[in-house]
Amino acid sequence: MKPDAAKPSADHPEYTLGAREAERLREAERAFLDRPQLSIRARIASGFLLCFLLVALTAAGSLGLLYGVKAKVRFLSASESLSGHLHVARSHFRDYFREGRGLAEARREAEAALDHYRENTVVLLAVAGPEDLARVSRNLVRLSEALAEASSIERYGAWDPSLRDEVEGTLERESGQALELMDQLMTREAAQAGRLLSMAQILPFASLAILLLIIFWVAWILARTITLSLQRFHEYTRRISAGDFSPITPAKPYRDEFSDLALAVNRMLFELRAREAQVTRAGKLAALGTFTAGIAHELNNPLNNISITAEALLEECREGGDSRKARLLKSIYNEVQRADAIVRGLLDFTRDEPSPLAPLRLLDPVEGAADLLANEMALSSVVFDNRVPADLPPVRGDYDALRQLFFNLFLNAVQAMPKGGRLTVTAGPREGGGAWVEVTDEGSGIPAEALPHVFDPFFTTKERGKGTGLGLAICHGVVERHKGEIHVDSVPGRGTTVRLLFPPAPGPAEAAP
Amino acid sequence: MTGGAPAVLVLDDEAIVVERLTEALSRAGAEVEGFTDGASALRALREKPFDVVVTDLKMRPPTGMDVILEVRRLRPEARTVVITGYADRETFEHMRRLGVSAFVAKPFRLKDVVDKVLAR
Repeated sequence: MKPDAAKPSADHPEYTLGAREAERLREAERAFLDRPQLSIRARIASGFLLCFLLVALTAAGSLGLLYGVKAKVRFLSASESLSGHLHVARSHFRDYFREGRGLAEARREAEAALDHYRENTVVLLAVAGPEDLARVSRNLVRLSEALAEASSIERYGAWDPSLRDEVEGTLERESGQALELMDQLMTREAAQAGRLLSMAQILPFASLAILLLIIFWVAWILARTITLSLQRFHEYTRRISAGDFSPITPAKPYRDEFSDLALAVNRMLFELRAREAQVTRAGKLAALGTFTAGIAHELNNPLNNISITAEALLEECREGGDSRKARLLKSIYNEVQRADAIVRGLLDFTRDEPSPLAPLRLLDPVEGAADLLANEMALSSVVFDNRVPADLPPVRGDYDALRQLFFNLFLNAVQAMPKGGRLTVTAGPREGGGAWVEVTDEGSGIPAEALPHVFDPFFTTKERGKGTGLGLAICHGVVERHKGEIHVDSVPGRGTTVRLLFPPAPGPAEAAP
Repeated sequence: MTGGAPAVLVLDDEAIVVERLTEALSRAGAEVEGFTDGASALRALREKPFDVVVTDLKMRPPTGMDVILEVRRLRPEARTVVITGYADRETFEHMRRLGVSAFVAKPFRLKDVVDKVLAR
């Protein structure tokens, strides 16, 4: 059908088991490949990535906490100084109102507090709210103003008692409010800093615990996937040893490394089945050969006896002029010859003393067989298209046996095309040495259910009397002897292709017996 | 012998073959003695010179091969015709080296054997 399609490679289980089995294998392969990929490698990688992310988050979290603590500490330090200045300023203006000295010191401290506040506004603002700070700053400014007022009163005039009370009240109130607020803020922030520090202490341990959980989880999932898959494959091997060679089907909704293994196992099963079929067939043929050879040998003598006796009688009848008896005897004689032809065919098939193999051109037996069939081809209007290249590498072969092989194949092809057609022979070198040959006809083809039996002796699809059922069995025997392979592919109604594979001829040193 | 009827020994463990060949060769003018076992054939060979020996190969010992060896020893000029069931190449070669004159494969035509026996 397609003589040039699909270059033959070393193995052709497809040809042994047929297109239906090959399609079954491809279906099983598609079932494996048509799933989302989720390889074990990817899962291990994502596990590691998750762990890494967690560690990075922990580090970032710790760093953030430490920054928070640092800001609080700076705030607390700045607030401490501010409070210190305010405390000193208060004790000085209290001294002043009690003992009449220390106003200048109080003013200096209040100014220092204000300066300190201005210098550290950013640090303070980073922690305390702007409203609180505004209040503190207001207190500080009023304190300063009240102290300035007190200074000018003392320098230019005497203290009016009511004014003195008022100024003292302002000073007490503003400094008190500022100190109270600062105290509140400091207490609050110190507590917060403490909490942040505790968190920074706990964080690494917590994240370590989560890390361990993730690692265990990932490891558990992976171990489960792997052990379950191994268990499944253990089950497959048990099944295969029990002789069940049907393809493995996917057990998971996704694809991983085990899917590749399953694909390889399916391929192996397919090839094992092809090998098994070939070995079974070879064994059957060998047993049948021994059996047939025994029968053929035993039949030879009685046939000979009938034949020569009929011949002797025939001679006598002819001499005596009894033409009717002579005709009857002639029938006996002819039938014995026919039986003899069958016996001879069986003996050819089971011949166990073959001539030695010698390097030869495949073109020669092909041409030899075609010459023998030239008349039959012409009668059936079969066009013989010989495309075997003359420069094909030689194979080790038995010319007579190979001519018989091609004769049988060509005869089958011619008989399959009673209304004519094209009989094509193509050939080419095989990768790694040897040669392939394809014999293709456009004949009636072989029904799919008959394909597995075409090499069985006495199996024939031809009408009674047309074939002995030994042709392809003999071909198979010849190919076996040449350590080659023979595969038949056929589409009913379109034709048949027989593919032959021959091993390379060894070098001259090896070829010499 | 020379000039007269050739003396022919026929040996085959199939009695019918011996019978038919004896008849056919006698009709063709030969002097035939038939045997169905090797021992009697060997005895006859030692008693009388035969011009042609026709023998099957496979039989109970002494076999056709023993008879041929004896003929070669006693009368190297005697012709030998070997009837074989289905001889392999090796046997053919061996026979040829022994100087066997002709081969006949079973099943054969009486006429062919007669022609080969009487051939000069």
